[in-house]
Amino acid sequence: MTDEPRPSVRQIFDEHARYIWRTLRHLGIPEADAPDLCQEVFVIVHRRLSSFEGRSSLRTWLYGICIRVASEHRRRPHVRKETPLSEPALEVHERQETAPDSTLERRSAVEHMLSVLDEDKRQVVVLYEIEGFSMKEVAEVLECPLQTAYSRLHAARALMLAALNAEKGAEP
Amino acid sequence: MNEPDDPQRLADAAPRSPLGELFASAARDLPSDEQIARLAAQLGPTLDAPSAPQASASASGASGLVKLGVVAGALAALVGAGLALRHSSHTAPDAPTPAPNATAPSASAVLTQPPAPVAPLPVIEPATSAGASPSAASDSTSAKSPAVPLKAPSEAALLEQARRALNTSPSYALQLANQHRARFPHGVLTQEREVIAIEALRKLNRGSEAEQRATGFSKAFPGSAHQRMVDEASPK
Repeated sequence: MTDEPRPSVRQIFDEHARYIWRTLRHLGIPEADAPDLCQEVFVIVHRRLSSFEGRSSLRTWLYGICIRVASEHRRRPHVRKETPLSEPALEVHERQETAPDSTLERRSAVEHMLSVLDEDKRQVVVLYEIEGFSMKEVAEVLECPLQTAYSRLHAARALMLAALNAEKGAEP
Repeated sequence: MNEPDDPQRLADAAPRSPLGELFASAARDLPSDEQIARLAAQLGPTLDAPSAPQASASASGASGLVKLGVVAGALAALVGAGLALRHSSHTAPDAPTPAPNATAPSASAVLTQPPAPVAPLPVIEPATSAGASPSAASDSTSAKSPAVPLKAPSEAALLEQARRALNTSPSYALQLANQHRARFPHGVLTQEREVIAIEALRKLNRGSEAEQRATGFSKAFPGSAHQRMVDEASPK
């Protein structure tokens, strides 16, 4: 238990909301569902904050919730039927107002690359390569042994590299 | 945020590989300020409400009616203002460690039991009010196509209907809350539903049922953020 005062839900929101949103997106949550899932995360934070004991950092606790919300969302029957782990196409109609084409293209490329991974590997890649967690923190968030997290990262990198090379080989 | 044994991140390598470039761009891809502001507005008072106390909060001396306004506000934030989860029943994910069922004491079974049969909902309104989710609200196709069969309301939309009915027709509010219990026995808004049901029972002068349901709530959700609301809505 740390001696630091516990931040309010508002403070947590102000500091982390945009990163939670980004994480949800990279975990394969469609743009249209990101607001609802973000709300779910913060409703749970509101409910559980008083029981947060500081055994882990607030950030790893928060991302643990985020990972579980995303994972749970994908297991819901209608999501399984209607959307694959990764959205094959962007909701261009929703993003066109704010995102230039180059941003959409980059986002599509990121999404395509992450889509070659299964859920476990994808979580490690998102937390480590994009969100900047240390591998120890990644293992804490995912509640897996550190060595497992390393193995998943290694395997994920190999898979993504292979996918990239295959695409290059397929280019005319 | 890195440890000595950690491999170099692909985005940090020089020169960057194509994968490193992708991850660097992914890290820059944040939602707009407008999207975050909208999200904050949807969460509303939840962001500034105190989190659930560890110990059950004792009843304050403040007027119950005043507090019920807070209940309505908080529920509006949690339920109505865009928390359109659009899911069928599921188990609520929660804090990292406990499995949802492991944290639910047996009393929670009371809360998930199907209620006595209730009449079907007379009309299901499409979620086009301010309480609709942004995605639902922006779904101009459905808004312009009344001929399309309406889907059953989402968990959040159903509870928003119930919350709105509290003041005008508590019996209808209770009916909707019971519909929610039947359709979403493990929904993420179970606690919010129970607060509505308890308040509806109290308004209907069904004190013993309200008390029974409040007791079930306290056992199923010890330390809930809504405990105080439940205490104030249930008869003393």
